[in-house]
Amino acid sequence: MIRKVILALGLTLLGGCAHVGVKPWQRDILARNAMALDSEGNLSGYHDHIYFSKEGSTGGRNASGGGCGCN
Amino acid sequence: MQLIETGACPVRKLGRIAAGLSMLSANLLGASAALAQDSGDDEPQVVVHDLMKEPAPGPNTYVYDSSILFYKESGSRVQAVEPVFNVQNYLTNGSIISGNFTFDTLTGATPNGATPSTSDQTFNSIVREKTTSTQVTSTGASGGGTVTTIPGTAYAKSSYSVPARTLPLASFHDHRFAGNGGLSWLANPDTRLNVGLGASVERDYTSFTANFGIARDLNQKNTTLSLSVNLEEDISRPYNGTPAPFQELNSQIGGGNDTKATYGVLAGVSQTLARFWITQVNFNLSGSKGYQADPYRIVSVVDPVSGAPLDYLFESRPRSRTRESVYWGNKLALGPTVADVSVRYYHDTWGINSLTAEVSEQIPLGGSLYIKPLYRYYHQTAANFFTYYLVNGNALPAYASSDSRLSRFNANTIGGKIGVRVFKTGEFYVEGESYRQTGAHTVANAPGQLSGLDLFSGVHAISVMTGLRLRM
Repeated sequence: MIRKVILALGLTLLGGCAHVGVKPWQRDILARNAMALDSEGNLSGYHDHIYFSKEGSTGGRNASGGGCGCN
Repeated sequence: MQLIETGACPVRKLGRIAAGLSMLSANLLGASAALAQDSGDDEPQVVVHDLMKEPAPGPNTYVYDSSILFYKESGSRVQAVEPVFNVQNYLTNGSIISGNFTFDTLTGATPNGATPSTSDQTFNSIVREKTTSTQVTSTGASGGGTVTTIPGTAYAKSSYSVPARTLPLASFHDHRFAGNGGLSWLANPDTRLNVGLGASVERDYTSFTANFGIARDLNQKNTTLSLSVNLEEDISRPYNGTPAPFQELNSQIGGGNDTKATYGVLAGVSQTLARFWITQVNFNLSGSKGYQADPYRIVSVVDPVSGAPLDYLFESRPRSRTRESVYWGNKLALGPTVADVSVRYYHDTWGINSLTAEVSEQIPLGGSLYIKPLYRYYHQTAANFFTYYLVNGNALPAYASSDSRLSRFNANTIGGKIGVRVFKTGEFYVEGESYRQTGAHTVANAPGQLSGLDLFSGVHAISVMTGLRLRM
């Protein structure tokens, strides 16, 4: 089910992508560090580690989560 | 606009304005390029003192991030201290070299898996003598346990007690060292490749990871498609050996080490939707085969009428697990603030479905200070083999675990971060969080005494993370 939803979403996004976006000179805000999709550095790693060790789910934003015997 | 009110030639005037506009455009383009830092030149970093307007790291830059986590669970449970050092070197040719080093110290107590009881409980087990200094031998609640050598063997009898109506905890302490390194480079102006290797070593667990990824920019870099593959090999070396599924706690364990292999694929697309909005959708599929149980965790076998504990068995979990998740993340610049909004749906073959939603808002307070309140909601269903206890006389199921991480619960995280500009290009930050799991504390139709006992063993934890990020 997830795979079908993803496929549909992906195709929709890709289909519309060619008409969406900004010109290179409009990237001033997007180029800021605060706008990076993962701008939290070490804090992201701490969050992933805490949630991985206390919950049954992992993954999503990135493929991390493993690498320790805490779960 | 005053184009025609003077005596100057309108055409010449228009030409000067056009030339001026061209220069202005060129300057804007130049500024954008400097901010974007993706041209590959080796100009020095643009120093922006406003934290919220600082550009992403560009070529010829080192970024150092040193931080420490203090984590504490209520009820004398787990405490952890975790320093992390991370360095990234952005080279002039667009390559990025990164390294990360982590050291954990964990102490405290964790649920051993048994249910509470209306009477005191004593947990007897056979342990390897050489390991008793680090292995579970006592509980914080009971204040201590005993270890008695079995003459002529390498084993000892371990015993600890837990008071009535108390969640049985087993104390432990451990250290973990982890390191990983990565290299990312441009195969061409629109295609970036990356590889990474990592290792994590604990006294009873070792893990090796490797990953490879590719990202391709399309549509004037407004769209990025990415694909990465992760491989992981884990070696579990329990202090007393690996117990067989449903082996009695008070018995000698014959199993040695065991392993787990994991593969993962992550496919994603990120898309610039507007000047102030970038969005990302990821699909993550991973599979694990091998030993996936907790070698120290037990399940109570209770009397079908009184609910009193009669025996304790080591848990049993499937040796195969497939996980799928879809993640949707967004960064939105709303005026001077930046919002981070994300949702994740997760499903696995153990029967766990979960939903995660996170939102945070980075708010500037002047140019050199910001605050960032955050909230996270999490809900998961139980694994199909989760149970608080086994009933004596019933046939054993194929799998059973009382691990609260496999139970049905909600979790709420509330926290906030403060970032302050230090030196010219550094940031000092502190983040504090409260993480609380909530769930059902009783089970319908529980036998006897268990109907009146609190069986939920979810955690409430406070964590403080602080660090210094320097860009040079």
